[in-house]
Formats: sequence, C-alpha cells, structure tokens
Amino acid sequence: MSELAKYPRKLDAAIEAFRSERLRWVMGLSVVGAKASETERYNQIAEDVMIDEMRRQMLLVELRNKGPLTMKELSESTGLGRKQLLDHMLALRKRGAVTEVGEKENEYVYKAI
Amino acid sequence: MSEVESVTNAKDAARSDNASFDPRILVFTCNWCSYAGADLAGTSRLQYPPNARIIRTMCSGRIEPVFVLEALRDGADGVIVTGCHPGDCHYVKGNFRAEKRFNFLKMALKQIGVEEDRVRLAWISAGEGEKFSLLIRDMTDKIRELGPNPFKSSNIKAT
Repeated sequence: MSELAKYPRKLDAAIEAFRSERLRWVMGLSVVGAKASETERYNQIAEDVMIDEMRRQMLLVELRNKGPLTMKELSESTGLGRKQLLDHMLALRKRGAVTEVGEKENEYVYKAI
Repeated sequence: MSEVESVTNAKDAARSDNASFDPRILVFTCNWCSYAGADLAGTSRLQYPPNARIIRTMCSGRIEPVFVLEALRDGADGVIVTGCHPGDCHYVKGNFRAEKRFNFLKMALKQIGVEEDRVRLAWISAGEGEKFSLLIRDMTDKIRELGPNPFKSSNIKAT
C-alpha cells in the first residue's frame, strides 16, 4: 500500500468521528436524549465525556500542585492505569496543556503549562 | 519517506497538471437566502464558471460536517457552505449552528491535512447575486491553484 493510501483512512476516520454520537452531541447535532426512551444512552455519552474531562483536569491539578511528574508518579498519585493515563496525557499534550521538561529514571517528566 | 513528505509530493504532482484541471466545487445553499442569491445571479445573467454544483437545503444549520467530508472523499475538489447573514436566518439560529459546526470541520481538516482553502463558509443574502458569482469565481481560481483534491477516493485508487 502506498503512503498516500493511508490518507483516505484519515478522511474515513473523520467521517466516522463526525457520525459518532459523542461528537454529534458536542456539536449539538445529536437527537439522543430527545426521547424519554433514550435517556440512558444520552446519560452514558454525557458521563463518558464528563469522566474524561474530569480525569484530564485531575492530572493537570496534580501537575500544578506537585510540579513536574513522570507517568509513574502520576499513576501512583491519581490511581489511573497506565493505558488510561497515556491516553489522557496524549490528549493533554495535543491540547498544549502539558509538556515534557526532562527525563527521570528513563521516563519523561511532564509539566502543566 | 514520511507520511507528510509523501502527501506533499502527491500535492505537488497534483498541482503540476493544473492546466487541464477542471475543479468540481460543491455548494450547499440555504433555501431562503443563498439559494435565492444564486438564483438572482442566474436571472441577472451574471457570469461565473460552471464548476459549481449546487445543493439546496432548507437551512445552513442542516449541513453537517459529514456532508462536506463525504463530498471531499467522493469527488469534490472544494466545498462551499453558504447561508443567510448572521441575524437573518429564517429559523433564527440555523446559521450560527452552521458556523459552529464549520469550525469543528476546520479542526478535523487540519488534523487530516486537507488544505484550509478547499472548504469555505460564506453568508449570502437573497439580494447578493453578484457576491455569489464572485464567490464561485474566486473559489474556482483558488481550487485551480491548489490542484485536484488528493484525498478523493478515485485519486487514491489510481496511485
């Protein structure tokens, strides 16, 4: 497969992302929750978004209060598993909310911006 | 070769055969303002390139980012979303919603690596036939400059 052929997957991924209930909900396009029978689904989407955001803010609070920390230290202080932590740190890094400031015991040290 | 380099090369290759390139531009218009503007451009016999294909919706608020992305995947080289001027929406808030969703779309396109100028949001009232024809002319020139959309599925299959 050529390198370029990887790109339509990105476009397809964006199409699927914009079809997903979660993004549609953020954009105000979702009709989930409009009917009483869908309350449970609506609550689930809302809860997912809220939990993710709360966990990300928790990581930022830790970094602000305790100074630069490694993933291991963050995992110990927040109780988040390694995979979840990695997902959230990547999201925060992409958002420009955290940055690496060095290395400690073969791990990056992160700081809140 | 990195992903970025390969797409840059593909874009350069696409630009090189622009001479014979006839862009396909999809224009979403709203029933109340911009479609009437497009209609006025026609009845006023204003000249604009025949590259635009118009789809009429009841309101720009109906246009979802998925419509634009699918258009780009399925063959459009550029997409224009048009609606009533802010404050003039027949359904009061439709165009504000369209603008909000368009911003989401721009964010996604930036992530994918689609040139920003391939999509455009414009407000056109029923009396702005001239503005509509200028918009199509300008967009056609811009897309011609950018070259064929390297992300459309037919281009991908050919490589």
